[in-house]
Amino acid sequence: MTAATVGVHLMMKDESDLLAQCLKSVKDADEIIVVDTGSRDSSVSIAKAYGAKVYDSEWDDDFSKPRNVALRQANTDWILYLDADECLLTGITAVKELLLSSEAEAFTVLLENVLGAGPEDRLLHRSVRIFRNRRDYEFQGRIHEQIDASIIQKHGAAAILDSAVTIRHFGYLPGRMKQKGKLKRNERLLKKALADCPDDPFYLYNMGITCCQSGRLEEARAFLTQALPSVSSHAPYRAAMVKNLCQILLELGDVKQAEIMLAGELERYGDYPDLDYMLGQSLERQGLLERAYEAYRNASTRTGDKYVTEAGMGSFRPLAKMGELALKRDLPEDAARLFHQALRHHNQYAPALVGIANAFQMLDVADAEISAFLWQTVNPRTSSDQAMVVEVLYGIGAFGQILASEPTYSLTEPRIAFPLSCSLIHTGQLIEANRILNLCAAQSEEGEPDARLFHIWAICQLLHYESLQEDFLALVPIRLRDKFHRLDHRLREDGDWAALDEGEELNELTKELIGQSVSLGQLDLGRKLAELLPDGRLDYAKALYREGYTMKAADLFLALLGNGLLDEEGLFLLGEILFDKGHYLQAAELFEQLLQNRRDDEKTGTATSLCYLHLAEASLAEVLHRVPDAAPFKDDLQNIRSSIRLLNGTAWHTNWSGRQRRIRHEPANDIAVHDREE
Amino acid sequence: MSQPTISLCMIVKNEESHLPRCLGSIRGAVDEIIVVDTGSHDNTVKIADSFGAKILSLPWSGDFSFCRNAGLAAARGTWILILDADEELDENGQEELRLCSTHLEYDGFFLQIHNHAGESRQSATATINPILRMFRNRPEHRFRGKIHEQIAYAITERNPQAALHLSSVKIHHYGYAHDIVVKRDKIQRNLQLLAQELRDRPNDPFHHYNIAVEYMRMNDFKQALEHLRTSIALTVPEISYAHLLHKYEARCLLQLGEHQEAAQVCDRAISLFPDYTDLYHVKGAIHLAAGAKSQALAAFLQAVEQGPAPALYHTEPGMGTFLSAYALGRLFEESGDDANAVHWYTEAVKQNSNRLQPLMRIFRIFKTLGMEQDIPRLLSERFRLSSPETLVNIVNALLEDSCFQAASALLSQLDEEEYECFRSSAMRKCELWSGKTPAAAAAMAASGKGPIAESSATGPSARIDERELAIKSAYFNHRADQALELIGLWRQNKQADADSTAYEAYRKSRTLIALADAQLGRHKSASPHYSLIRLARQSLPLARSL
Repeated sequence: MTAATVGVHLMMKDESDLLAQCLKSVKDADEIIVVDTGSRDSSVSIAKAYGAKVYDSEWDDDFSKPRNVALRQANTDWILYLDADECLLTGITAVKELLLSSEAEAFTVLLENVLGAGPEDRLLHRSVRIFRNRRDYEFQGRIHEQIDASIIQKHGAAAILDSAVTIRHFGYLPGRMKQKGKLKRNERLLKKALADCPDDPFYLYNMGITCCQSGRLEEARAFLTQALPSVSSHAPYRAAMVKNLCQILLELGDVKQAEIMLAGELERYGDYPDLDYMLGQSLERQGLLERAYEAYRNASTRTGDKYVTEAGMGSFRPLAKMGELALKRDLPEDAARLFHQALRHHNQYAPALVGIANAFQMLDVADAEISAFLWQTVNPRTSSDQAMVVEVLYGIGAFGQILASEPTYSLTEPRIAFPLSCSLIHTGQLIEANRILNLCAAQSEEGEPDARLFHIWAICQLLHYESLQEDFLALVPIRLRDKFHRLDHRLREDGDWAALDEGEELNELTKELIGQSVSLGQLDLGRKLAELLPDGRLDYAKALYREGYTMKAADLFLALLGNGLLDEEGLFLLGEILFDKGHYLQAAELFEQLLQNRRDDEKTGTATSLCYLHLAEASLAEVLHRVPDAAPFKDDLQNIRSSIRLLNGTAWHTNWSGRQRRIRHEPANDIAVHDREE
Repeated sequence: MSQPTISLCMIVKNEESHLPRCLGSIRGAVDEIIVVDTGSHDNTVKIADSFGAKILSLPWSGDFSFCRNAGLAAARGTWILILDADEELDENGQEELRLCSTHLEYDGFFLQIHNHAGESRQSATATINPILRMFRNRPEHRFRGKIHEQIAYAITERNPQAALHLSSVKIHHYGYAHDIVVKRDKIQRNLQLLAQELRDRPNDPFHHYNIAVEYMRMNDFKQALEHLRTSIALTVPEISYAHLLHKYEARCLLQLGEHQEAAQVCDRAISLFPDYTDLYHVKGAIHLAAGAKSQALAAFLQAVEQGPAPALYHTEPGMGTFLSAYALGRLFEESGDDANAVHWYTEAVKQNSNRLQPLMRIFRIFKTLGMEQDIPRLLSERFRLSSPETLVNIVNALLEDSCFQAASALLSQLDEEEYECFRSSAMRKCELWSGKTPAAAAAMAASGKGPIAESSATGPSARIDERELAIKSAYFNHRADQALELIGLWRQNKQADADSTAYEAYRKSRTLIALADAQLGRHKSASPHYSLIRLARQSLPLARSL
C-alpha cells in the first residue's frame, strides 16, 4: 500500500517574522504551495528557500480566492492548509500515518490559539484543515473561509473525522493584531460581506467579534444579540457565539442577563465547561456563592473539547475558583485540596498558587514549608517563573523566605525587584534595598518606568538618609523630579506645610507615599508624611486600617471622630471596626448616620441590616439560654444565621491579603484580644 | 339464613368519661356487647350495664391478650368487633359495618382508625391506620401477645388462604397526643415487657417492630434500626405492617445522617411498594438533608403525583399532600423560581387550610418582589377565608412581616363588632408603621423615652408591645436615631422572671428583624445583588404565635 502524499498550502502577505517557523514545521511535506497576495518584505524569498512553489494572486478582499488558487495547483493526494502565523506541532509523519488506509474525506485538527504568555492563555477549537484533493472541493466565504460546506455537500458530514493533529496559531497575540492592522482589514471585509447578505448570522457574529477585539463592547453585544436567534441550532459556530455573547455580557456587568442566558443554553450544551464556568462567574458576582460553587464544580467535571474552549475551563480554572470560595467560607483544608488539584493540571497557575499559599497560612503551616512547596511546584526556569513565586510569597508576608531562598534572582525583572526590595525594607536591610532599587532604576526602559519603583525607592532613601540623595534624583523621570524635590524640602524644613497648598499633584504623591510607607511597615515615616497634608492624619488612619494595624487605626479614627474630621469613608471603616468587635448597636448608629447622606448606598445598607440581624441573633440566643429545648427557636436562630451568611456573600467588608492578615492577628493589633470601651 | 350478628368486645378500666360516647356510637350497629372490666372503681360498670352490656370482671394480670380472649370466649355473634373505650364509630360507619357482616367469604376486615391529637375530630395530627378490628367468631381466633396484642396470626394459622378485606369504615380515636405524653413514662415499662416477650419468642418480627417503635419514640435511632432490620429479615412484604418497617428504616438512617444508605433503602422499599406515597416524601427529605436539591425536587414531585397513600397503608397526614407541596415550595423559592414556589404553596394551603406557613411564604415572596399591593387580590381570587378568626391570623402575620398596605386593605373586610378593638389597634399600627405619619410617630417617640402610656393595656406584655410600637414607628418614619436610642434602652432593661424574659427576648428579635428587613428592602432591583438580597430576606424566620 503506497503512502498517501501530503501537500501543505499557505497564503500570505508580509509574514517574514513567523514564516520560517511555519515552514520548518512542515518541511517533510511532499509539496509546499504558497500563494502570495502582495508581500513587500522577504516573505517570498524565505518561502522559496524552503522549497515552496510560490504563486501570485492579487488581493481581492476575499480569503477564499487565494486558497482556491492553491487547490488548483495541487499535485498531492491530500492537502493540509495553514496560515503563515501558524505552525504544525504534530509533524508531517504523524499526519501521514493518520491518512494511511483511511476512508475519510477530511479531518479536523485541534487549533491552539496563543493569547498570552502563560500556558493558560490558550483558546482551543477544532477546524477542518486536512482533506482529500478532489476537483470539486472549493473554499467558500469572503472572510473565515471554509471547505466544510463543500465536503459535506458531496459526501455528508460523517465523512469528516476528528484527529489529534495540533496546530498552534500566534496571530491573536495582542501585539500582533494591532500591528498588522488586521482588525481594520477584517472589519472592512465583513462590512462588504454584510452588504451582500445583511442578515447572515455568521457575518454578524464575526462583526461582533471584531468590535469586541477593538474594545467596542456595546456594539459587539448588539451584533451578537441580533445574530443569535437566526443561527441554526446545528451550526458548528453557535456554541462559540453563545460563549462570546456571555463573555461580553459579563464584561458589561450584565450579570443577571448572562445567568438567564447560560441557564437556558446549558440545557443544550451539556459538555461545554466554558458555559458552566461563566455561569459560576455570574452567580459569584451576584453573591450567590453556593450556586456559584456548584456551577464551577460542574465545569470541572466536563471532558469534551467539542467547542471553542479556553485552556483549563474544565480543570484548573474552576478548581481554583472553588478553592477561593472555600477560603471565603473559612474552610482552608478544603481550599488547599482544591488548589492542589488545580496545580496538578497546571503547575504555574497564579490564582492557584496564591490560593494555596493563603490556605496554608490559615492552617498555620510554617513559611519555610510554604516556600519550599511553591519553589518545588513551580519549578522555575525563567525569571518570570521566579517572579511568580516571589510575588506569592510577598503576598503572604513571608519576607524572610524571599530573602533566604535567593537563587540567582534576575534583578532586572521588576516583578522580582519590587517584592525583593520591599522585603529588604521590611527587615531593615536598607542599604541592600537601596542598591537593588538603584540598579533597577538605572536599567529601566526609556518608555514608561513604573512610578511605584520610585515611590519605594524614595521611602528607602528617606528611611536611611532622611533625605533624598543625588543618585535618586538623577534617575527619577523628569515629570516626577520636581515633586520629589519639593517633598524632600518640606520634610527637611520645619513649617506649616499643611496650610500651604502647593497643588493637587504634590498632595497625591504624598498620599501615595503615606500608603506605601505603612504598607512597608514604616509607621513613623507615614506619620511624618501625614503631617504635610491637611487631611494627612485621616489618610494615615485609613492606610493603617487597610494594612492590618486595626488597633492603631481605631484609636486614630476615634480621635478624628471626636474632632469632627472623619469623612464618609472613615466613618464606614470605624463602623466596620465596631462591628467586628461585636458592638453592633454603635456600629448601626454610624452606618445609619452615613445612610442619611447616601441613602442608596448598598454596602452601607447591607452593613446596617447585618447589625440588626446580629442583635436579633443575640436576643434569640438569650431565649434559648432560658428555654433550652425550644426547637422552634433553634430553627429561627438557624434561619437568622442563614440570612447573615448569605448577606456576607456581597463582600461588603474590607478584605485583607495574607500579609495584612498576619499583621491584623498580631497581639498588639488584634481587636478581639483588646477590650476597649467606646 | 338469618342475618349475621356482630358482638362488640371491649376491655375497660376507669373509662367513665369516654365510654358513653363509644357505646352510643355503636347502638344499633351491633347485636351484643361484651365488656371485660379489669378493676374499675368509677362508674364504668354502671354505664356499660345501662347500654345492655354483658360484664365480665377479671383482675388485671399485665396480659392484654388474656383479657381480650376472655371476652371473645363469651361472645355469641357471627362476627367480633373490637373497640377501645376512647374510640367512636363514625356515623356513616354503621351501615357499612352491617354490609361487611353479610360477606361471609371474608374472615376479617381492616377498619380505618383515625388518630386525633385532641378530643375533637378537627384537632391537629391525624394519622390514619388500617387495623384488623372485625373478624369471624371462631374458637381458633384468639389474640396473642401480652402487649400490642395481635389477631392476624391466629386467623392465617387456621386458614392460610384466609381472605381479609379492607373496608372504609371509620373509627375515631381521641387523645392520641395525650396518650403519647402519658405513654412516654410507660415506654420503659413497655420495653421491659417487650424484651421479655422477645426472650420467649426471639424470632417474632412483630415484637422487634414494636421495640423499634419504642426506641424511635425515645430518639434512639441506632437501637431502633437494629430491631427494624431483624424484623424485616423475618417477614415477607405481604405482612400488613411491612411497608412501615421500610419507611422507619429509611427514617432512622436519615436521623443518623447516613444519607446514602437511607436513599438506597428508600429505593428498595419503593420497588416493593411503588404506591406508598410516604416513601417518596421521605426520599425527598433524605436528598434535602444531603444537599441534593434536584433529586429532592424529583422525589417530592413523585409524592404529590401519587397523592395520598392508598387506604391499605399506614400513613401520616401531609404525605403527598400539604407537607410535600410545602417542601416543593421551599425548594423552588430557594432557587429563585417564584412562580412555581407560589403555585406549590397555594396547593399546600388548599390541602390543609389550618396551616398558615405556606400562606406567609407567599406573602413574603410578593413583598420582596415589591408586589405587596397584590396580596389582597390574590387572597380573594385563590383562597376562601373560612372565618373572621382566619382573617385576624392573616392580618397579624402580615403585620409581623411589615406588609402594612395589604394588612390595612384586609382590615376593611373585618366588620364584625367583636373584632372592633383588634381592628382599630391593627389600623393604628398600619398607619404608624407605613411611614406616612412622621409627625405623629415622632411625637409618640419623643413624648417618652421609656414605655409610652397611650394604650390602656397594662402588664409586662403590654409594655413590650409599646416598646416595639415605638421603635418601629420611629424607624419606619425615618427616625433611625430615635429607634436606636430606644433599642439601647430596651437592652438595658432586664427582667427577673425567666418566662417573661424569654418572651421579651423573642419580641426584641422580631423587632430587630423587622428593621433589618426594612433596610434590605431599600435595595434596588437593578443591583447585581438583588437576587441574593431577596433570598436573604426570604430566609428570615417566619413569625410564630406565642
